[in-house]
Amino acid sequence: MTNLKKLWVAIGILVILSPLGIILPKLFNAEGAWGEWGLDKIGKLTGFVPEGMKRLRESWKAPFPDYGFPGQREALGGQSMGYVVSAIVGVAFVAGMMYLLTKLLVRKKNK
Amino acid sequence: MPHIPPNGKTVYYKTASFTAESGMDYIIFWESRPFITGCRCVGGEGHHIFSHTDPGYLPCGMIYSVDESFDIDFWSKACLFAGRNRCLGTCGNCVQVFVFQGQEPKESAKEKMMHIPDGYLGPATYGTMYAITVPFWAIAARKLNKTLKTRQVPYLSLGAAFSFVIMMFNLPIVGGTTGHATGATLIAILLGPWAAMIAVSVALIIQALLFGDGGITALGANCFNMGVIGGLAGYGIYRIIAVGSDIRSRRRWIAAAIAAYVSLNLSALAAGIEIGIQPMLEKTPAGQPLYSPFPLSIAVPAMVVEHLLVFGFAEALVTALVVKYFQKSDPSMLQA
Repeated sequence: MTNLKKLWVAIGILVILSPLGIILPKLFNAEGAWGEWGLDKIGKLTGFVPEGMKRLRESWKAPFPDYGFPGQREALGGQSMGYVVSAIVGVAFVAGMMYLLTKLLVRKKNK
Repeated sequence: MPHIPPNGKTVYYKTASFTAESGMDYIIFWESRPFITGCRCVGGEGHHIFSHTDPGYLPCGMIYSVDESFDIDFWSKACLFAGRNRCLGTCGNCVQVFVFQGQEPKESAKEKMMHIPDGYLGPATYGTMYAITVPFWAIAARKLNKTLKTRQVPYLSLGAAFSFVIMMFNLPIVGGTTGHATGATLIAILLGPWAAMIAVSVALIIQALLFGDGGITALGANCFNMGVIGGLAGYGIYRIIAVGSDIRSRRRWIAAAIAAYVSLNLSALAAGIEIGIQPMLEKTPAGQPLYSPFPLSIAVPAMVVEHLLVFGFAEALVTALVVKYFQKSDPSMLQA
């Protein structure tokens, strides 16, 4: 296997292991990342919700918010499956977009 | 009618009503999006809770104390597939209810770190960050064509994919928040800082657009913090420390580790500063913050300390490991 292929396999392994990214925080009872709270948490933390934050908060409705996938079950197993599917979809989009950009940006005449 | 869950538990209801018991406190979240991925507060407008005995509006996400038991039905005007007065349940919407008595509930969180969401940065900041980042993208695009070797090209997609997936690995600090590595320094070492800028930006763009991880207004800032700073600082520090050393030497991967550690902390510092200057920059005439309510004295330490203590080491470890792998398997890749 070429180096490149081996590395894509490694990406695949990382994708399968990705639920660790939600399991580990749960195990340690860690909350959300600092500075990534929703309006409700801000309200609880500071006693008010800033006006501008309320306005901008819903600027964009992502199709798969928080890496969940429609139809996934709510238990950790379902969330993990959704996470893996999101990882696959995300990798596909990222690699695809990067590939298109490369085709656009990199024009090699020699070498 | 669903059963009231035990104290302290989180329950998800796909049906449309439940009975709020007296003496209990609830926080209720609901959403009316077509995709059900877990319940989120979507905001106050158009979302009503209607109860048989106590018609009215229960604000999403606020603590609601119940004195007398009553039945709650959920319906939403905002739902595409429901007419008025039809229960959320028929849309397939879900309701998430925290039940607790006299204590703060623990939220389950799948949040990542360093991805600044929409609403934390005001237009002065997010506009400026876009104005700074877009030229970097343009420069990177041009430099990429000039500096990238043909055989490195396939590694670009790999690098972007790696950055994306590594950011899904949230690491907890015990009892605290979570964070993750970005892969920016690694990509910069292997493919150059311009490739790193673009690859990390692509990962961040997909994360924001598809998964709501990081805001759209904040995208310029996030790409600058993680892509531009990560790529340039990571590359620069690596080169300074590794200069003159043999490709297979220990100094190389140590340089990679140090560069990764420092550059991630610089990214965190930048994010902390951007969040922390908001209360000063953007406030109402009365002085209330419009966006991030956290001043520099809170934001910067919060961001930097956890990266100095934990997440920087994760980035350093991942970077060093992959560099070592290339030292053995394909050292010519390290001549970026």
